[in-house]
Amino acid sequence: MDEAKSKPSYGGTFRHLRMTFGIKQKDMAGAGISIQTVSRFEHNDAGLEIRNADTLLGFLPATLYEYVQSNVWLPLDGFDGFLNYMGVLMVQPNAAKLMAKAALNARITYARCGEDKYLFRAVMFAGATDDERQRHRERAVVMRHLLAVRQWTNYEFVLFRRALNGTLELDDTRQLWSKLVGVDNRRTRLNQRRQLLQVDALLTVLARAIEWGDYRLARRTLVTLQELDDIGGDTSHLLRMRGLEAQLAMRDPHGDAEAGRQLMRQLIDAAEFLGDKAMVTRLSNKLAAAEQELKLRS
Amino acid sequence: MADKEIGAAFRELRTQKGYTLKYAARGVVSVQFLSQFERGQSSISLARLAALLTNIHVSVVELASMPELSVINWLDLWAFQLDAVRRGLDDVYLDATIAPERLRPVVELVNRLAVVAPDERRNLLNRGEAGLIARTVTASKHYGVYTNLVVHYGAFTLASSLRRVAEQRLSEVNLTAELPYLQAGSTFGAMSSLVEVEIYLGNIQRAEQLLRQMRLRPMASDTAALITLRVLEAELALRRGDEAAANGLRDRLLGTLQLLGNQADYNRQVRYFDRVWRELGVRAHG
Repeated sequence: MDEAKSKPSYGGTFRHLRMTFGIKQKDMAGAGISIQTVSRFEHNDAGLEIRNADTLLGFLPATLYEYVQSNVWLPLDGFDGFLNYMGVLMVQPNAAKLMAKAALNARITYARCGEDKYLFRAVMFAGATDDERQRHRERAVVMRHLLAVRQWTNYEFVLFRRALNGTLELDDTRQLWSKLVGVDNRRTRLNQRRQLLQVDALLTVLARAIEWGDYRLARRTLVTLQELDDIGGDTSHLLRMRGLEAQLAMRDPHGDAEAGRQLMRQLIDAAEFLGDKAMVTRLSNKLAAAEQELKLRS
Repeated sequence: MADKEIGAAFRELRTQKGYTLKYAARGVVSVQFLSQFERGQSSISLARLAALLTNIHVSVVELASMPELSVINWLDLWAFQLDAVRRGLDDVYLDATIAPERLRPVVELVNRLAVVAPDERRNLLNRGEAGLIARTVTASKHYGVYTNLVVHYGAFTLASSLRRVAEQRLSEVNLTAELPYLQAGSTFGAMSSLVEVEIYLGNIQRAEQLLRQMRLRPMASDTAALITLRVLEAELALRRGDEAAANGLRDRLLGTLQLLGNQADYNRQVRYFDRVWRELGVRAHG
């Protein structure tokens, strides 16, 4: 079967979701929309007004998020489609290879038509190009977009974070700082989701700053993170942040290396207790690298 | 839901990002139409709206989360409110009228269950009300956010056979399609409630089996999920009568939360343990 796959469309996906919920078209009459309207939408994507789409989804019931996530055929053009597609690729066993291929295809399309969105897509898939000259050109295009957008939405936070993998330079963060920290802290659904991406981006900045020895930027970023009102409540972020805090304390010449060491050991201990093997390995490697640097310094 | 609200929300996003009407409209609609849409004077199809959002690099989900669209996608809003209640945030009001009429009775029941402690949920509903929860659990072939929330809060009202049905359907969920969501709307959240019921009822082997299954799921690599698993292990130890192990796990968990530095999470967990120790501690000896 899989009508959603044979006929990529909003309507086809809705039909697929409706059938998964075990709801018949005639059941939808209770939503105040005629069977004919539902049928036309499901088969032709025809003319479903947004107000009715919300009613139909609510009837299933499914969130807009679930609808979007179940629609692997959302046009890749859209950010939802792109995130969907990236999510599907990331869980494949050969994810890195697939993302690199997707990035290459996006760069080829960009070279052909010159539309920035394809370049941004390439960067979000797989970071920087190997060609140094091209990297400089791409950096300029990405910076132009990130600076031009007055207030970042989820798209810019994702683009920025991925661009830090080699397209952007760490110093570019200083120019973009006001955008990075400009998320409304009022507790709404929008801000909660946006803040999660903002924190992701800031943690990436912190990690890079420590890695490249820009301790001033690292300290500034850490303070910013610590002062954020936690509306997202993401415990994984907290663990990551404390790990970076420990690393910074050990590597920063102005830091308290012994306090950093103790914190790192406590975090490794906590990760072991929770059974997070990947985190134990990561933190242990960071501790070893920091100890090595301290040894060289002394 | 008024088209006016959607148009206004789109305009807010467009101007926030600094895009002109012409830029946003390109290739999709005329500038004039877009202007009318933003002012609520024209309605628009889902496909065209998605294309406009593509032009300004905003996701459909983000638009739907705008504060101006207070009633769009009621289920998303409900999950957000329930999550706020779970986190102990006190400025939340649970209102069943946000739901479509046919679902309001169930939503109202879940709202009542959400504000009391798990052990109190068992006797909170009358037979008819518990039947509504049960029917939702069995009628839903597809478990998504809505059914996860019903299972999460209604687990204690379910008979053992219905809990098995829920466990089976939750185990069939394609987790790659379930990207991180609010905890209470997740498969993991629903399963953890089912484990808790088995612990409270003293079904030790069943609880252990479910915990093992939960550990294998990809979402269990998330820090919050790992903490939840350890909390359940602590409860299980207490239920088995192994107070030393239970207290040890509890103290280490609280130590971990303190180390992570979120005081609100720490305080909430302390209150949670106090209540569970009171409820289970009595049973473990009685």
